Amino acid sequence: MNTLSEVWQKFAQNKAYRSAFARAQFKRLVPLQIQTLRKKRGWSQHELAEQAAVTQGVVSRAEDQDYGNLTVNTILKIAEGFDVAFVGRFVPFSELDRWYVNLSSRTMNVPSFDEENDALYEFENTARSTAKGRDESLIAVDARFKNERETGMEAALANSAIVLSPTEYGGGLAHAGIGGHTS
Amino acid sequence: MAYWRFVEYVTEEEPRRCPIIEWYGTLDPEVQAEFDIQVKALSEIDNWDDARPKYKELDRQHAGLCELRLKVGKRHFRPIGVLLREERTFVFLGGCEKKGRGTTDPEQAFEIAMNLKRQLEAGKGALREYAF
Repeated sequence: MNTLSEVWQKFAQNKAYRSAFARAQFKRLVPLQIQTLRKKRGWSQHELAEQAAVTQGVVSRAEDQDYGNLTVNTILKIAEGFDVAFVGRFVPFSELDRWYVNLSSRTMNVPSFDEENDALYEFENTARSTAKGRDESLIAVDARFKNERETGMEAALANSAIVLSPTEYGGGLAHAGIGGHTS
Repeated sequence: MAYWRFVEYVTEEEPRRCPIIEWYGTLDPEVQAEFDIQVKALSEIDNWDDARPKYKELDRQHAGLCELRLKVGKRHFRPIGVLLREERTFVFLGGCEKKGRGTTDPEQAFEIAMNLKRQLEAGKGALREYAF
């Protein structure tokens, strides 16, 4: 059984690929996360711009995956607008691989400090009354946000089909105006 | 679990061919990396209205096809397929680079994709998960 991810195998084949991959994930996925976080908060680009003390145009470009010229300074301002941390650091490719494989809307959608803090205090109070430790509280807070993210995901997927084999595409193809499979 | 699923079409006749994989294999590593990241990003966007202009549902002679829009530097690439909104699935049928004056590399890429779509409609060929 091959335990290496598809992307790791590509990393291993070609330095040009892995270098381009590292660039592309920054160029495309940071804008995607900015858009994800903004929409989760129900903010317009203008509202995020106000929170981050930048112009709406800066936000628009920051969400454009093709822009390719997003500065760290702008990212830090936007992080401040969301009240979250942006961590830029050097990592080995194995960490990039793990991060990519596990990447999802859940991992991209992070709570603001206030959301975390409120939840933490809530669990701290509970922990004090039940003699639970701080670590357990933090775990509980993390689990709470994880559950919220997963609940949102489940709702989004509630009406979507899980398609596994060619013949099962028949219904979907019909929806798209394409005849169903007969083979 | 991602919001959207990407699958690739495999032809029925022997030797069986997978057009998207064949096209992907012709791309520079930089374009391959951009392609992989963009597909991953699209798979995680719940409402594809938010994903415009990263894709376009085509009309007229190519009605029923959908192209993903990938810009790498000044070059424009077009993975081509069928978008199944109800199933949140994109079926890859091929791809090309857009050149000037409506031409593509490979030539006739959209017409070829239309033919593959017709084969798909006729129940010929197979679909399998796209690994990225």
